[in-house]
Amino acid sequence: MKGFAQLFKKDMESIGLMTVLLGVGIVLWDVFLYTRLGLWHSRAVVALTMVPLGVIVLWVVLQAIQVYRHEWQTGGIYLVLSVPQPGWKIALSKLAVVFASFTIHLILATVGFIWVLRASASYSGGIQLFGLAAEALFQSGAATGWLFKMTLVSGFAYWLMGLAMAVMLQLAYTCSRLTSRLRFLAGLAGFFVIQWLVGLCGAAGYYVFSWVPDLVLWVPAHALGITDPAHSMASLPVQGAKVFIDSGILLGNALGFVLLFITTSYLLENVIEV
Amino acid sequence: MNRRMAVYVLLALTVLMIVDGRYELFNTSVLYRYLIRVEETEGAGLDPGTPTAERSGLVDKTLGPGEVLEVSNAFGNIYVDGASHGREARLTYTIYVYASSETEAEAYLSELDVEVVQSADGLRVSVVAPKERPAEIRQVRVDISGSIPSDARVDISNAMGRVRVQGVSGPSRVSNAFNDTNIKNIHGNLHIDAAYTNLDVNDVQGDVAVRGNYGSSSLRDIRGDIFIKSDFRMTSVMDVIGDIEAETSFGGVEVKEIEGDLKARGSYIVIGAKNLTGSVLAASEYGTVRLQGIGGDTVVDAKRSDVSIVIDGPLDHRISLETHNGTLALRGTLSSLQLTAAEDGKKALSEVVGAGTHSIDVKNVQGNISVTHPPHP
Repeated sequence: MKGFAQLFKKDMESIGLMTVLLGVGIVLWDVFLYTRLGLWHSRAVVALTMVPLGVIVLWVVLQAIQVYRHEWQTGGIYLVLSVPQPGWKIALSKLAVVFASFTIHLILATVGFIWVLRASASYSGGIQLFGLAAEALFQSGAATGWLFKMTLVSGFAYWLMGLAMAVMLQLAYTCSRLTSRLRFLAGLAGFFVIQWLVGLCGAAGYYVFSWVPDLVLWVPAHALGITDPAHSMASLPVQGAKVFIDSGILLGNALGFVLLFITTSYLLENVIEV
Repeated sequence: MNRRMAVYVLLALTVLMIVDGRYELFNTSVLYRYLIRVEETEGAGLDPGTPTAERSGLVDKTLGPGEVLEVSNAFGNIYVDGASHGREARLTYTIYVYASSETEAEAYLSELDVEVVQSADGLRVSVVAPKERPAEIRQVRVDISGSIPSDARVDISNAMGRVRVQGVSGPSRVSNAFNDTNIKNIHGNLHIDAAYTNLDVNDVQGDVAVRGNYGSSSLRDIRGDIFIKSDFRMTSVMDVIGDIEAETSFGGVEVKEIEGDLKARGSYIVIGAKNLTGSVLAASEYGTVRLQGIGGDTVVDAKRSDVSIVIDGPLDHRISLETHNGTLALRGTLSSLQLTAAEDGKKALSEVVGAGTHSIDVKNVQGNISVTHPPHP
C-alpha cells in the first residue's frame, strides 16, 4: 500500500497544478454566470453552467494521456519500471490520479450548476413552471427523492463514462509505446481495437448475462426527444416512459474495461521496455 | 510475451477488426439495438400497481345567471358542461390517493375533503388537505366533472391534468397545464392560460386571450378579438370575425379565413396569414412571414427573415419593397417591374399598380422578399 501511495503522490504532482487551475476556472466561471442572472436570459445562463461538464471530459482525455506521457518526457519511466512494484499498482495509481482530478472537477461543476439553477428560479418562468409541475406531480417529499435519484444515476453514469474513457486511452497510449517508430499509428490502431474489443465484450455479455434483470428507469416520455428539460420533466405525470437498459451488455462492457486495465498492467510489467 | 509479439497481436487484432467491420463476422451492432428499450405509458407517472385509495362525492348546488363556478385543483381532470335547463350545478368528484401501502392511502384519504363554498358570486370548489403530507403519500389526484347552467361562468385553476369546458357563458377563465385543454361553445369572453398543453378552442362568442408557453393552440370559429402571447408554441387560428394580435417567439401563428386585422410580432417565428379581409402588421426577426390573399394594407418590418407575399385578387396596390443584403423577387404578372435601386446590397422597388387602393410596404434586413401575383385565367 505504501508503494501505491508513493506512486499516487508522484503522479498527482504531474497533474496537480493543472487540476487546481481548472478547479479555480470552474468556480470563477460559475461566479461570473451568477452575476449575469437578471442581465442575460436565465435559460442561457443555466445552459452555460453546463459547459464545464463538457470541458472536464476533454480534460480526462488529456490527463489520461499526460500522466503516461509525462513519464517518458521526464525519464521517470526508468524509475517506475525498475521499482519492485507490480504493473497493476502502476496502472492503478495513474488511473486513480486522473480520476481523483475528474471527481473534484465534477463535484465543483455540479455544485456550480445547482447553485446557479436555484438562483435562476426567480428569473425564469420555465424553471418556476417546472417547480409547479414537480409540486403538482409529487405533492410531497417524493419529488425531491425522485429528482435526487435521477441526478445520482445520471452523475454516476457520467462518472463511469469518464473512468471508461481514461482506461481506454491509457491502454491506447501504452500500445503506442510498443513500437519505436510510427507510435501515433500504433496508438490510433490500439484505440480503435480497444473500442471494438469492448463492443465484443458487450455483445458476449448480452448472451452470458441474459439472466440478470434489466435496469428500469422512469423518465418523462418527451425527455428522449425534447431538449427543454423543464418541459420534458414536467410531462412525466401524463406521459411517463419506462426505459429498459440491458444489464447483460453493460456487464459485458464493464468486464471488457476490467480486461483492458489488466492488459495495461500486464504490458507495463512484462512488455514495455525503455 | 515480448514487445515484438505484442505488436503482432495488436496488428492481428487490427486486421480482424477491419475484416469484422467489412464483413460483419460478429455482427455485434445488431445486439446493441437491444441496449435501450423504451415503453411509453399513459398515466400518472407512477408504477402500475401503486396502492390506491379513492372516494367519490357529489356537489349539488344552484348557480344564478352570470354567477361563477370557481374550481381550484392541483392535479386531475376537470370536465364541465353547460346545461340549458335548470339552475343546478351538479358535480361529481373522485379523490385518488396513491401511497406506499393501501392502509396509508386510506388513512390519508380520510383527512381529505372537497370543500364547497357558496357566496354571492357563485360557488367555490377546492380540495382541503392537511398542511403536512406524509412522505409515504406519492400523489393525490382529484377528478371533477358535471354540469352547471349554461348562463353561468367558470373560473378553473388546474395545475396539471385534462380540462374540458363547453356550453358556458363568459367572461370565463381557464388555467391548466401539462395536458389537453378543450374549450367550446362559450358565450362571452374567454381567458386561457395553458402552458405545456395542446389547447383546442372552438366556437367562442366573445374575445379570447391565450397565454402560456410550449405545446400548441388551435382556435376556431371565434366571434371576437383574439390576443395571443405564447413562446415556443405554434398557434393556428381559423374562421374569426375580429382582430388578432399575437406576440410570440420560437413558435408562430398561422391564421386563415379572418374578417379583421392581424398584428403579429416576435423573433424566431413563423407568421402566416391566408384570406384575411383586414390589414396585416407583422414584425419578425429570424423568422418567416407568409401572406396570401390579404384584403387590406400590408406592413412588414423584418430582420433576417424570409418574407413572401401572394396577391390573390386584382392588382390595386402601392408596392414599396426594400431589402438589404437579401434577394428581392417579383413573380407572375409583377415580374416585369423594374427595381428602383440595386446598389451596395440594397434592393428596392416602389411602384403603384392599378389604382393603388391598398399598400404593401415591406422592409427586410439580411433577408429575402418575394411578391407574387399569379396570372389569373
